[in-house]
Amino acid sequence: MKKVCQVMNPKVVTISPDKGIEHAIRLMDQHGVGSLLVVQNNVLKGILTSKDIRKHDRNRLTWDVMTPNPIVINENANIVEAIQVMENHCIEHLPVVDEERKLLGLITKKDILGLFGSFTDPLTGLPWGTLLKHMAKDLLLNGNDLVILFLDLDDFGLFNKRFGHVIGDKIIVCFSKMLKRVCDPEYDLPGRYAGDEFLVISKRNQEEAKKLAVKILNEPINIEGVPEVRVSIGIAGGRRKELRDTNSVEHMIDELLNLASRASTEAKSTRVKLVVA
Amino acid sequence: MEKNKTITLSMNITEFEMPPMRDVIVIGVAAPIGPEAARKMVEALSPEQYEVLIVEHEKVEALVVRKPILQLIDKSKLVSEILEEVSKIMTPKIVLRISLNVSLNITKTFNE
Repeated sequence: MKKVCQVMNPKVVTISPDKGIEHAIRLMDQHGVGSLLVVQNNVLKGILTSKDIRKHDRNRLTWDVMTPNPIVINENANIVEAIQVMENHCIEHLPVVDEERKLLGLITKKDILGLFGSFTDPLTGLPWGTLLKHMAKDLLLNGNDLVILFLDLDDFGLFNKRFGHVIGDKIIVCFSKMLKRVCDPEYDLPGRYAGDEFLVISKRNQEEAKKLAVKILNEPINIEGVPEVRVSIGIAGGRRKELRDTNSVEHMIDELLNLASRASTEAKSTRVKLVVA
Repeated sequence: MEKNKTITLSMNITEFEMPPMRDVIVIGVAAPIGPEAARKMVEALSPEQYEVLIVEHEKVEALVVRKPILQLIDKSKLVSEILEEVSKIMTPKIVLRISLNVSLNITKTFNE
């Protein structure tokens, strides 16, 4: 997973906090930018946007108009963390700093989307399994234990054949929306694995994961003119009391994923709906 | 035809008081200077004599107060009294200066 420092733009337009707003306006016009990073002794002090300028008298110093202590990201964070920060705070630009808050560059949503876009499913907006596995790795390395829910839509191939792929896509979208609604972003990371298969990587324990699975099973997926869509769920993990060995994190995730996938196949074949590995 | 052009120069000369500020400066939220500019100004003209107080008010952004005043009267009390009075005449775009007189009246009674 690429780090922010590998993707950022190191050339940023900055201004000293002691400069006046007239100077800031000239800089913005000169560089064709809508915001300036306010820097003193290489340390990021604030951000000045054209919106800030419109609210104040042009005679003012940058100090008195800027937004102090903007949201930043550490140079060693990965691009997934960067996107999460941007989405949580509804921002498009993120200054990149080192441990001492010295400004190193700027990363924008546009910079990441080209890379990130390949990691998300354009139909549902959910991350693909590849990205989810990276997120799972980060969670484990940060000391969280994981449980994986593997969700497989029942008889989906028949839906596509009988009602057409357009209806099939609608079902996938409908299911994804339900999944996003039911999952708690504090604990759960929903994603699309492939075709009619979905994943939820969760920080819950197994008991809580079962409750989530039951909640999902009880949510009807109804498309007009189409019989109700059902899902089979397999669960693996969420029972350890100690931290897992972080040396084999990727192997651990693959193992859990396999267990959950096989459990969902068993749920489907036995019509049990939910199986715990 | 005679042409006569004269220039008249009129000057009004007064002393620039040092320091030029009074006891309190009241900075409006949309005033031409902000608290940091005011802080730099008072520090340059009268080092360590003034304190900048940022306030939560619809028209006032900050007060710059001469420090000795704050030794005679509680800070929050002073701020609330000033804000109460200036908000009646204040607009967000202006900077006001206030001269303050603070006197302490003490009466003691004791049994002889």
